[in-house]
Amino acid sequence: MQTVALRVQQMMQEHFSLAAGQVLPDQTLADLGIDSLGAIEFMFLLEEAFGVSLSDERGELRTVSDIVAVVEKAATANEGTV
Amino acid sequence: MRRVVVTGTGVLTPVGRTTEEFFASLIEVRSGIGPVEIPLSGVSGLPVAAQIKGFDPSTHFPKERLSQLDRFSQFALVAAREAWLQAGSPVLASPDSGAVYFGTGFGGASTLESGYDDLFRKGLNRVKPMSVVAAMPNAAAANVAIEFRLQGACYTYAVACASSAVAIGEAFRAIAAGAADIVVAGGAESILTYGIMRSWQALMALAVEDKAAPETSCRPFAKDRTGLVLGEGAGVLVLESLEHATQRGANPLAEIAGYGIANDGLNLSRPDVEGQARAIRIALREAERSGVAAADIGYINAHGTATKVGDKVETQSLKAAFGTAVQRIPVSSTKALHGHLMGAGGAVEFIAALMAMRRRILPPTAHLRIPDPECDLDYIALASRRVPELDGVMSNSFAFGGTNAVLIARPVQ
Repeated sequence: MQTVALRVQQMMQEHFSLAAGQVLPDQTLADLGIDSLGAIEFMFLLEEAFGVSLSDERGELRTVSDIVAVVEKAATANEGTV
Repeated sequence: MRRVVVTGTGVLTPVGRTTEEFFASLIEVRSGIGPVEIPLSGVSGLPVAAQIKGFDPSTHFPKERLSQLDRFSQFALVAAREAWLQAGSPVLASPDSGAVYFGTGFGGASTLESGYDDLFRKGLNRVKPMSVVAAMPNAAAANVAIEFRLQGACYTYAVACASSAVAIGEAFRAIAAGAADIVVAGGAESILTYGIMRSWQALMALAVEDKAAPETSCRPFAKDRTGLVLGEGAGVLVLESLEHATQRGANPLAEIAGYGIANDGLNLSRPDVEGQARAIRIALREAERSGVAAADIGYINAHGTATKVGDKVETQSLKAAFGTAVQRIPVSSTKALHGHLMGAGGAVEFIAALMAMRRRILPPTAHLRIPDPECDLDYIALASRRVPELDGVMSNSFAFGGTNAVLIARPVQ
């Protein structure tokens, strides 16, 4: 089974047309050339892909692992309610 | 006042995706009007329209940018790139000396409509995250400014059918007055959405489809005209001061000689002879100061939407402004072929007039087989016409809301 982190990284690579291995956990979105609109749009795709609703109170999304963390949190919360 | 020249033009229209292709279609009388295709199943009774078919945005824009670009912004950028390239991809001495003056009637209409579709029909409780930035009426202008890093003014005029004519005219004034050196000016429109087409139908302004020959459904100035045909697209010009163009070694294609604007202040939709004639007179007066007399105008691209009242009123306005001299001026409405591009119409038709001047060949009013006694000017019926010389051209744009905008251009001397 794929981890959330791996799936997010793969989706990111595909959506932003990035090279394989370019998306690393500590990488900042700015380094990857992703602006704030790009990030918001990507969160929308993640919500669809993971069937979750990402909280508005997610704090600053600076790095790849920040994004993975909010998805993981939402996915866990989802499991709890099922 | 500084002289203002055109150094590049670009279009995306139902009859041509470049200025050359567009003008060739007008001269060779190729219509872009026909049945409209929309992504909604089970819908019938839609009007004929002048649609840009087979336009694939992914060949023009990277995937990650597309969600920010409503169809009207895509059209704007494609046309702007052509104009900018023809202008020689100008390098600005200072980024804030470049500006964008743009026009649109409806802005990001497709984005709004698809958002409503998600909410009201599909029952979703959220819309796409880029809905706001894609739909906002100034999105096309902002994207054009981003494309060429133009950091001066960035305006969007919403003046219905006169939007891009006003944008060009105001840009002309700004450059003449020294407020900008170079301006990307024009307009874009994408209104062939289900809701907007139904709205126009409800207004009873659209042409009745000619079932035997749908491509001839728009018949400006003809006795059997029944209304306008909606179109979509973009027209963009690069305007700059003559001095700026000369300094950077650009090739000026034409000079803008006059701009007239006047509002009827009477009625939202009924055109007014006096308001239109006033705009024409203002433009002619201004042109005269830069050496173009009324007698020099050798072609008029009419607003000519093919509505019963509109064409009659425009004929009367031209007579009121020019007097009997108008009888010797060839006039045509190219909307018979490319449809009514609303906020993009003024720019696209001004470009048609500039091309006529450069090539000395006048595009006709297509499908004008049955003359109307109330429209009795020389409308260049059916076939294009070569002329030995052309010292000035005029383009009219008369809008819902009552605004009348008139542009005059001349060859560069």
